[in-house]
Amino acid sequence: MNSFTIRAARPHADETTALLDWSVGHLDELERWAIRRQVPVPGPILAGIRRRYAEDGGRAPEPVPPVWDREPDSVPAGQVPEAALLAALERDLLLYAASLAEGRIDDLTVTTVPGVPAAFYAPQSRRLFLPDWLAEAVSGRLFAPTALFPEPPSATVSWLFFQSLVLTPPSLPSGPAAHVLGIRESD
Amino acid sequence: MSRNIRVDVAVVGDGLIGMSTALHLRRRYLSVAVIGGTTQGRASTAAAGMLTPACEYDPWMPQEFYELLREGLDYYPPFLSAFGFTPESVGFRSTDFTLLDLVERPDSLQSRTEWMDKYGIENRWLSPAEVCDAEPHLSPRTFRGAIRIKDEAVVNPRALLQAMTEWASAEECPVLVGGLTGVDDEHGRLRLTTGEGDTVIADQVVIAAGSWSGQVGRAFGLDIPVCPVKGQIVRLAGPPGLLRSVAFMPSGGCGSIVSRSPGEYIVGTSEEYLRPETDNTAGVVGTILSRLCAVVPEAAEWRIEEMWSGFRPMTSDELPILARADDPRIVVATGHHRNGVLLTAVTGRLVAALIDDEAPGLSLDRFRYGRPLRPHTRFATKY
Ligand SMILES: Cc1cc2nc3c(=O)[nH]c(=O)nc-3n(C[C@H](O)[C@H](O)[C@H](O)COP(=O)(O)OP(=O)(O)OC[C@H]3O[C@@H](n4cnc5c(N)ncnc54)[C@H](O)[C@@H]3O)c2cc1C
Repeated sequence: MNSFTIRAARPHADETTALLDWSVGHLDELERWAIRRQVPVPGPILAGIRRRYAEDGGRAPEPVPPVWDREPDSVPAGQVPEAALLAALERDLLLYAASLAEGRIDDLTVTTVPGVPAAFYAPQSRRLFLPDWLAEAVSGRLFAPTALFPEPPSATVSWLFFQSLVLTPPSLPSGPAAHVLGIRESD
Repeated sequence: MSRNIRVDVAVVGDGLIGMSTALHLRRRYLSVAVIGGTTQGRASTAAAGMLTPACEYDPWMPQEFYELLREGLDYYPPFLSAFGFTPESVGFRSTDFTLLDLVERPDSLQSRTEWMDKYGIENRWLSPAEVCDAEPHLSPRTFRGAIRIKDEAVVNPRALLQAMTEWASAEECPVLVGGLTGVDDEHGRLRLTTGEGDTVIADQVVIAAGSWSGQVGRAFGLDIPVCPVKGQIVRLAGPPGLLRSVAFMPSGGCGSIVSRSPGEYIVGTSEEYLRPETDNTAGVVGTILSRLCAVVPEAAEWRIEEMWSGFRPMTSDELPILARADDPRIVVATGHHRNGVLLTAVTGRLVAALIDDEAPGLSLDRFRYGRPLRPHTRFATKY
């Protein structure tokens, strides 16, 4: 029987800075990420990243060593304000525990970070960074009701991890975690 | 004036799956009524009409699914002749498929020939030069080679749906409009009410309402977990005969260029999980057209005639549901996702057998109602 555990960690100010730096260096992937997932990144966050991209031509300082690779000060997931979301994420990722175990992932430390544009995954430390505005808006439905589909099907929240952008060095392309880990979300 | 109809079987859904089911039931001398809903977003009139087990099957799927797809293709010619549809009238023709190994994909497709060989699919890997010989209008700048698959087919799904609907009317199988709005029990039978105020009392019911099957199922107290996967298509007019096969482009939402009739090109598509509106969008149409113009440079001069979208009904394991439900009066036939046109004829045959309590002749265990399915996931849009 495979297991899967989620822990929480509080954010550090330098993590926000580092994630914004990374975003400047991967603006194309970031824009694509948001559009294709219908994720409404708050205008000021995106505008700030675009402005920096325009100013320094997409070159952002490379953090050495990357702040997201350090050991987090984790706390039990039930002790943070987003405990309900983390419980849902743990429940939904447990459905994929066998595939995750193949990629040697049986735990994840989640940090909710203010002011960042997307969900990010640091494979080294198995840390998932979620934007605070996204964590507040995650729905258990696939989409909002429309006249044609008034009763949208329910959906897992596992995409927050599977589709998080993998934090690669600025020179390397990124991709969603499921793709990088070779996990089929629908199997 | 509202109608009150008593039948052996009511079919809920007037797309290809519902109509094929109705036709096969009628051929068994059962009385049948079809209840249809909105034409907006209907998959059956949006589809490209490719009948291609080789391009659509993926080895992560169970072998039973390949067998179902294969039977779907093999059964088309006898199905058409059994119901008196000439191949020309429904745009059915046998054709090769060219599965392009596009350079825009990071990984090559060449290894796919291994499982195709294992499944006995007649195929051949073509080098870029061989692709140019086979398809002189395709630009080798866009591909590393291709797999040429022999003898699959295409059909015009709009023409087929129309032919089936006309057949049903001629054979006293009413097609009611207005959608199913209510379900009641009537002395062991099911009483269905439509939005137009018609009533159908039936011994058995087939739910074949495509992406709306979840909603329809709830009216019967059933859980039919399908979600709508939107796909956009563009129809263009250009010189006839530029392609000798169907060009299948497994990138993004798995696009294709299908010559539907001489000079009429159907080009697609996307897989959109989060946008339940029937519109066409700049990102998808732009990408479809720029890929088309890269692969077939002359297409830059083709005229855009029309564009549309529709919703494929998908389960979370991407397999259909073809089975009796917990309520033994109800058979579910949905979840055909990308292959509902290919599976139209065979689904009708299998469901008619289930209704008559006959062995369907194919293993349907993988497609049973109530199998464990994960909730849907918010996949990114592919195009
Ligand atoms: C862009 C696109 C391209 C495709 N290309 C191909 C292809 O090349 N080859 C292939 O094999 N497949 C293809 N498909 C898939 C195929 O079209 C579908 O799998 C198939 O058409 C599903 O048929 P259906 O009858 O189940 O659903 P639909 O065609 O969607 O029909 C469902 C019907 O249910 C009716 N309904 C809804 N609500 C109610 C209600 N309350 N009461 C009664 N009726 C109701 C609707 O009016 C509708 O007519 C494609 C799909 C799309 C969208």
